[in-house]
Amino acid sequence: MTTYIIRRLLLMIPTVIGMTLLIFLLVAMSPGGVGAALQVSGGGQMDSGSVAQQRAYLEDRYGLDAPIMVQYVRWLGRVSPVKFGARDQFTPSGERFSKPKPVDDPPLWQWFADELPAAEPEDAIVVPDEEELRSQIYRRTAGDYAQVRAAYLGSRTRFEIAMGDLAKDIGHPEAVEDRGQIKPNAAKRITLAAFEAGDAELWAAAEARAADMVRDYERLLNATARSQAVFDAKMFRQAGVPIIPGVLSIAAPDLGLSFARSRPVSTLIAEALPVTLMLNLIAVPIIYFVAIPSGVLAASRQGSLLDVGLGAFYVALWSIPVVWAGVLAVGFLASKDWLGWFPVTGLHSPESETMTMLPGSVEVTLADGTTTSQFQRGYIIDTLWHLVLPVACLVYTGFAILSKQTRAAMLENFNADYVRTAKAKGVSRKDVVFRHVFRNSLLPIITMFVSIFPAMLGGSVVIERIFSVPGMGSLIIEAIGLRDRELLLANALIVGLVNMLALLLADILYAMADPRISYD
Amino acid sequence: MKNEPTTSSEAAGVPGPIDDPGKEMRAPGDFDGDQQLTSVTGVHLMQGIGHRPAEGFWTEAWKQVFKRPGAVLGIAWVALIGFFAVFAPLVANGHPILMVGQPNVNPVGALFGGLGDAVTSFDGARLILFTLIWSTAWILAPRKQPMALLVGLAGLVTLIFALRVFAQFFVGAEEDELDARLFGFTQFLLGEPKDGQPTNHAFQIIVDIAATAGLVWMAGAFDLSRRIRIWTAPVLWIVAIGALLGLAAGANEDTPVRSPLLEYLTVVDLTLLVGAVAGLILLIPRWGGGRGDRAKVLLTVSLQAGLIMLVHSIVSGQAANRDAAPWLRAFERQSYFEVIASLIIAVVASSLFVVAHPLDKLRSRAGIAALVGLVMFGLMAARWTTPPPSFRYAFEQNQERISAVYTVIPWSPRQGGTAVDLLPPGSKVYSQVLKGLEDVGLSERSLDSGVAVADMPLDDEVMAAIEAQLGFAEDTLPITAEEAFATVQAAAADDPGMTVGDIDVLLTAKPAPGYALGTDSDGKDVLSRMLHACRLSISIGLVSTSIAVVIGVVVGALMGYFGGWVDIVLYRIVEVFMAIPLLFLLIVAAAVLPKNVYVMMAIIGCVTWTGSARFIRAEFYKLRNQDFVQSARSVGLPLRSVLFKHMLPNGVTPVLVDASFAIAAAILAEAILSYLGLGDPNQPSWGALLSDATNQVGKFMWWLAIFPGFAIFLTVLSYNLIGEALRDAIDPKLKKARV
Repeated sequence: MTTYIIRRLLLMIPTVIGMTLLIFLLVAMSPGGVGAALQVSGGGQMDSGSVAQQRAYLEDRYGLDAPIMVQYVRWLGRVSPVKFGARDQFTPSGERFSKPKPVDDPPLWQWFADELPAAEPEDAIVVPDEEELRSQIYRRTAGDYAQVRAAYLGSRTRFEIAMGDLAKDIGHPEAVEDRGQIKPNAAKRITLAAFEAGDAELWAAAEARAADMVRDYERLLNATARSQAVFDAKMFRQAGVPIIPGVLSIAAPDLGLSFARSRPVSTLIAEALPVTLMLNLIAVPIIYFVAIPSGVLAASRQGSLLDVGLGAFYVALWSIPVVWAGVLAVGFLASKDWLGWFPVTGLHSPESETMTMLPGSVEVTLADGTTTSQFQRGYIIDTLWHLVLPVACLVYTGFAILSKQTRAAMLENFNADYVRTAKAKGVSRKDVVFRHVFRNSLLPIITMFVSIFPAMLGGSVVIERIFSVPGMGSLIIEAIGLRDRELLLANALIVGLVNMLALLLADILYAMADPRISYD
Repeated sequence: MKNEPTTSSEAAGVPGPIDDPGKEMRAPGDFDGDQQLTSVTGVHLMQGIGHRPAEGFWTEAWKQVFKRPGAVLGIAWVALIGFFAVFAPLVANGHPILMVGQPNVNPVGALFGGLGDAVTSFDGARLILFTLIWSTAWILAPRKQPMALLVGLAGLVTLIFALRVFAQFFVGAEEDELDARLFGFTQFLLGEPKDGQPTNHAFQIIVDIAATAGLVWMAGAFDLSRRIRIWTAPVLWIVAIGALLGLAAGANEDTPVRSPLLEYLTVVDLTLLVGAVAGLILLIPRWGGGRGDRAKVLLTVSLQAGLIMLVHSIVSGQAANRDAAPWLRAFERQSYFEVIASLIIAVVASSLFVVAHPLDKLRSRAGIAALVGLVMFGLMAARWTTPPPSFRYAFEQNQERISAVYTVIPWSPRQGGTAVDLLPPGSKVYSQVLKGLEDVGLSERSLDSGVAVADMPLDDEVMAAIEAQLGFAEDTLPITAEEAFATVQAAAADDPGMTVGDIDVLLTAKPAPGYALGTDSDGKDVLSRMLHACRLSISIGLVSTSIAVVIGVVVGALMGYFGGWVDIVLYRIVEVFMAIPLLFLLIVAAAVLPKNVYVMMAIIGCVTWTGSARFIRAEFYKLRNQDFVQSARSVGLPLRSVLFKHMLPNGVTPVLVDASFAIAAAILAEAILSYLGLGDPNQPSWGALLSDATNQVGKFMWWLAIFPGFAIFLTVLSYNLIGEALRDAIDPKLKKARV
């Protein structure tokens, strides 16, 4: 059994890689590519130069300028629990402190500077004992580094735009990108041509831009060196456990930073995943409690009106589109125009923050100053009240599948020899149904979990959307709308893992329930 | 009782079953089970007296299905959806069927008034004469056709056509720059009138002769029996009558009759209409081939037409795109672009289908592919793109410029105002006027409480606001904003005690089209949109399930047949798709890829194939060591033949049974994606309508929730019921345990 579980767990690795690669490629195929929504945001007010600068900044920050497969391998490296190289550190406030990125040489510097400046040698960092002082050092260094890096990217983009202007001036508009920057592969050729035939004024402007760029480059080199020194001083708690110090370590996956919300994806998921799991964990027992008895009932009265009626009812129930059920529930049951019995959106009422956990009475001060005792439903009841409609929409398809399966399994056993034997020796009908047939019919019901669970996880995407429940589904839809790659990939990863683990659990349960089954 | 060998292999569209029990073909009607036996032979004794030959596997299964009332209702509902998928443009359309440019003239009368002129004109006489020749040739043509003469005629027509194209397109020369001999020759043949000279009809006559020859050739190519040709001759007459009516419509020069409805039909609309009519006529009478052959023909013809439609939509979209390549743009501006592009598409697609065709006889498959290619070429060349429609008929009619006859539901799915929206079922267009009044201060309350109009702030400022409000609705209103307010103001001046409620009566007294099921948030008719959405519903289920089955069968066959490493590697791919909840993957894919109907079909197909792959894999595991597979392998048949001709027919049943449920699932998936706003915005869809129901904050449009949702529900239920019945019929073990 252990070998089987280990093998299954190992086989999950290629599956997870394939799954995330699929999603990654899909997002990369989208018009505008990764983070497209982010890049257009605010584009309306800005001139193309500022847009280009912002774009360069974003590309640098999220590594979007690399080829797709490189980006994917980088992402994989970040989420992989096995890490290579120096370990990241965590500041006391919980920020992740990674090794600063290396700095590429500025473009075309040979034309405008004799040699590239080098970083000044950094003094050794004196690590203070007080945590507060260390945090201050980190904050100053990190803030400085981020600012200088942004400044360098800005001046580099301005230089590229100046070169683009030159290219347009000498009649090579095809070498200029949409935002006015010169294309990297045409840069050398254009520079040569512009040097010989270009407009002197434009050339002077480009020279001035280049000087700025080289100056910012030098500042960035120094800031990077400083940041590297602080990192090397290892002032903070390091992430994970080293295997070979400095080379290989095991650490918790880094799911990255959401493009759109600028928050770590892991905290977003930590908020959303429990909601979705709660929905599903409430729904699954309900499905089993309703479907199994009705399946047993239908099977034990095979061919009766009840059996046929239940069958027809469940096929109809199974055919109801979940979006329709959700819209009808919101419209007729929750909307104030109609019945208004249930809340329309969300997981809690706004006032639930002040409620007690359990229902009880509270003192309410009325307008005339007298106090009176009023019933208050409490936090738990409030949440359950909000969950009624989403859970109802989540469970009804499961009823049909599971009840049908229970009935089929029961009927198969009703025809078995041992049942005839039991009947022949005079066992009461109740005992035949429950002690003989039902217990032997339980096995396929366990495996039904395999087909119900993925459908429910998927279905909860839509249901959360309809009822505005802040779970994984809402997060996914938001991530898709904004092309937020990090959030989307992390979501796919988590949902896929939860799904695969659930399926593995079902298989293990199956083997435990049926001693005849052995995976070894 | 017909004894037709219909095995699973034929229904699967795969020829050459190896275990065909009824190999000796009997002609239909050959055997009659109820026939009284006059003498008993040894054979009868061995069979058992009064025995009936076994039905085919699928025939038997479908008979069982038809015994279930639920499944029959399901089939009926799907047939209804299918009907609207084809005929919705003729049922619900904002363009009039017939229209004349004069008020108070009945368009129908004008149409039939022109018949006399049409019949006596050259074209009318030619049409009648040649229809007689065509249909006689069609019915009487010998089975062995004179090929040489026909090829010569077809070649001549092609040559003339090519010369014309060469002269005007490839040389790019104007008439007077051309070699006079060349141009004079083509002009002579084309019958183009020179100034002041009579028209030369040589070309038309050549085309007619070539068409006649083509019909004779077709009769031979398809090996059609005389009976079938007599049955199908009415097609020719229907076409001829249509053409004659077309001539009559234009013949009356004072009041030419137009049909904007037909003018605005797209290539897809026309293809479906032609295909449905031709399919009904050709497939109901039994022609030579067996049921399996006819299924194959139907399948290939739909595939070919579908492929051509797809390529046409891509090419026409690309060519009209401003960012298209310069050569394509230049080509598109040429006057012959449509003809040449249609020709290339039709020829390429048709030759593809001549090569890869499941029919055995080369003659038949070439004939069918050529016929479909020809029809599609004609449709594409005639209707490459349709101009953006304008629906100002109601307005024009009100201005007494035209008179028109409409269809039953006089609304197009894309016709509607933008400002006034969301009318409940049963509203009339005048409700928009009232809504405009409400929007500027005449509240619902004052409408009911009988406040006099004289007390209302009906000054110029308010009027201007209302006018702006109503300006958007010009396409749907049969009355201008000015007129509405002139009426209101005049009435208010006459009768100071008049209430706003009286305005309602005043305005709605005029006859006007209503919205049977209300309007959506764009002010478009819900019923019309629902009818036009049937096409998406039918096609998305069939196409995406077909894609899924094809991928699943190929991958599953490889996994099951080879096992070992192939199985392990391919099964990882299956597992990847199973690990992510399908809906999640669908949403991501639909969100990042272009919002297009075809793309959505491809997405659903490419995501849901794992089910059939696993079915086929399991079946092939069982089959691969059986004797017939071993022997097929040992005689050295290619892998393709072993897998798909020998093993597949024996293992495909579970997949085909599952297909009905897969169609239901695909329709559900489409509804969810459209609900989430990931569908084609130009394509009406039930799911998209459903999402309008709760889109307006704080409002719930019950009619947008009930009707489209119920349509989705019934469709899904129908496919599920059919699937249940089919599965019970095929798998008797499960029958005991059906729901």
